[in-house]
Amino acid sequence: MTPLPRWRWVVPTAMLIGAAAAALGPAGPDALVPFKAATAAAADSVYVALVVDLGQGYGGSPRVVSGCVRVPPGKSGYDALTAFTQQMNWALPSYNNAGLLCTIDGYPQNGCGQVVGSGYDYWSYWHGDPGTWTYSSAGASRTMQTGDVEGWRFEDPGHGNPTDPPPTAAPDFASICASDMTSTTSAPTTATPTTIATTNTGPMGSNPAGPAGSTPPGSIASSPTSGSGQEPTNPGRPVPGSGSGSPTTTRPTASGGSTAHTGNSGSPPPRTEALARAGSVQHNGGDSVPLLVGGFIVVIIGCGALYRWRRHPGVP
Amino acid sequence: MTAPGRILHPAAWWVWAATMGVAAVRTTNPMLLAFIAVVVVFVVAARRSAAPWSRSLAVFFRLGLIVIVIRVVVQVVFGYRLPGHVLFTLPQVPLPGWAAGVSIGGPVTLESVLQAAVDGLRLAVILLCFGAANSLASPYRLLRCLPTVLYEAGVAVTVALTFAPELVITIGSVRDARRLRGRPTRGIAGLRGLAIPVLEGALDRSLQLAASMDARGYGRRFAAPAHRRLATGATALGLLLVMLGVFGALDPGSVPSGGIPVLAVGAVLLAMGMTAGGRRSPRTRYRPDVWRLPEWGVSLSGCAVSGAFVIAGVVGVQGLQFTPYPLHAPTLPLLLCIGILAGLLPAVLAPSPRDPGYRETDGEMLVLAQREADPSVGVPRVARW
Repeated sequence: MTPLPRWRWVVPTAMLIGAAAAALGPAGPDALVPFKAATAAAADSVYVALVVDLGQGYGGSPRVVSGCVRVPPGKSGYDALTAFTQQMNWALPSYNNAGLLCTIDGYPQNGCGQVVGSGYDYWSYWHGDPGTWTYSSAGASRTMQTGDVEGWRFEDPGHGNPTDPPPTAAPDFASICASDMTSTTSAPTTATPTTIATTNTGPMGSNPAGPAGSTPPGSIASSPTSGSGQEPTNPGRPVPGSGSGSPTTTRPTASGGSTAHTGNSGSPPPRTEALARAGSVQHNGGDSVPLLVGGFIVVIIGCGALYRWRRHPGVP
Repeated sequence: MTAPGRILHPAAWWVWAATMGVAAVRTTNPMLLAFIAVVVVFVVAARRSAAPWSRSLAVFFRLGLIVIVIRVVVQVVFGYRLPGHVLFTLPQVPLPGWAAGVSIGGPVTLESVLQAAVDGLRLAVILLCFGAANSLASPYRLLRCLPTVLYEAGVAVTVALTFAPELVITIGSVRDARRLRGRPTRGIAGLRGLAIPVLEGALDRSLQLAASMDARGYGRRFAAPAHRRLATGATALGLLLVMLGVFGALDPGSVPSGGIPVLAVGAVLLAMGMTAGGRRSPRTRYRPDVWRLPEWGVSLSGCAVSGAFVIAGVVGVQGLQFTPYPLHAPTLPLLLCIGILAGLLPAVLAPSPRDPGYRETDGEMLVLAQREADPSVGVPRVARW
């Protein structure tokens, strides 16, 4: 008698799920992403120029860094920024719980969109595609295409509107990405993947991604040494406009980026790698002992609460 | 310290619960939120009475779980897509450019799921604090403590204060009735039979109570003298300013200079309006709720917790805020944990419902609740209208 109503709910639900699976299953998860498939067919990867202006960051000297990254098609501006920070061997960008970009390269050290006087200390986001900087009022979820110029400038403080100053470097895609584009087109095909894997876009390059995903990170860390011999073929690439960014020949975290780009490679290996990396990051976080003690105390108080809750209240 | 034979002032419980909620608002660290949650649940488990509304916490606990699930599902399906460790990829629907920041489907990252779960957890803990106040404090006694000026808004205040406890009471009685008739009380089938009578019943009872108060002169309309209207206006304006100030204090940057001046002006206005308004209609109370040492202890322990969080936010203690971008384990600020443990004190300071001298026993409670619902019983009043 009682199971009957449950069955009545289970059958239509199962039918609904079955119908949805039947509709989507044969076409695959990418069925609804025609543009993604189209761009994937059109180009193997996308070149994006980035300009990161840290304002008066870290010690008061103006610091502007620009560079070219190669990302797989269908990636967003956030992915391009992540790829850029990895390429520069910087700390990964951090976001607050509303999705607002807080830091690039760990800057600023504290506060996120903090109020200063009548303005805000925040990272402004700019598009430089038409040759001039235009302020973006939306997030960087736009799909990247070759020729895009992405600008990030730390406003200290700005007012959160298009009158805030743009990045100080020019949004010149041709000059920023020239060496990368030419090196991939002119360089022999055998040499290109290794150089890109070591100094530029190893994590998101489509051809190195296959072996990179299946090998442990340690072996990838050794690849820069093998690739360093070919570095002169594209010396200008990681060197930013102001020259302050160090050439990224040693990149121990090179494998980290692949986790963000599992969309185009086989999913199982990167996923395990992602979990392994997550574990290692947690381990690097250090103080797991206080965390364990804290969890223990939480569990103890919780059990005590449950015990007392179960006792009938109001009885002496 | 404990004073057997009486119940704690309901306002003390509300102060304690509200300040615990303020602490939960100030942090996004899941460990600290879990700490606040277990502390709140422990105190309720230790000091709840046998009153029918004392099960409020369980209802709000379930509500909190639902909130977390909804938050995660919304993030997975519609959320912003930041780079991270991809767990799986949902089929994606392309959206026009102006819909940036929203997406339908796409890669689901571990970071985004964690973020959504922590956000939901924070809301759930705030709900838990609200549930704790509802299950610890008698709504009718709280109603009696209202400042005289607020009697003007009698109906609205009554419905607002008693809706949640009435809801819990009605859930219990409707479930009992359905169980006696052999109808399902669990699962979707149970929910279907439960939802409408419960909502209807809770609103009905609140309105009934409000109507009975209305019939006795609360919220009446009459030609009030000018100074009386001034007092009411000052109270309303003061309440509005206090609300704005509290908003500014909770969300730094939204109101100039943290909302403290607004809060101060509002508090002064409120106090003036209340004293001026209260002087006009004196009334005596039957068995008045007293405010003694245990009440001070309970409310101050809550204030200590929220004070610790506010100070930690101003000083900039590491670990108060947690974002999973980039992915890392939350840290545990030791001092703040000790601060939260101060919130456990009411489990000792407040008089226990298990004390032999505790006045409201199991059987008497419902009768008392009904009697208190009717303020005319045993409440000699000196009214001037």
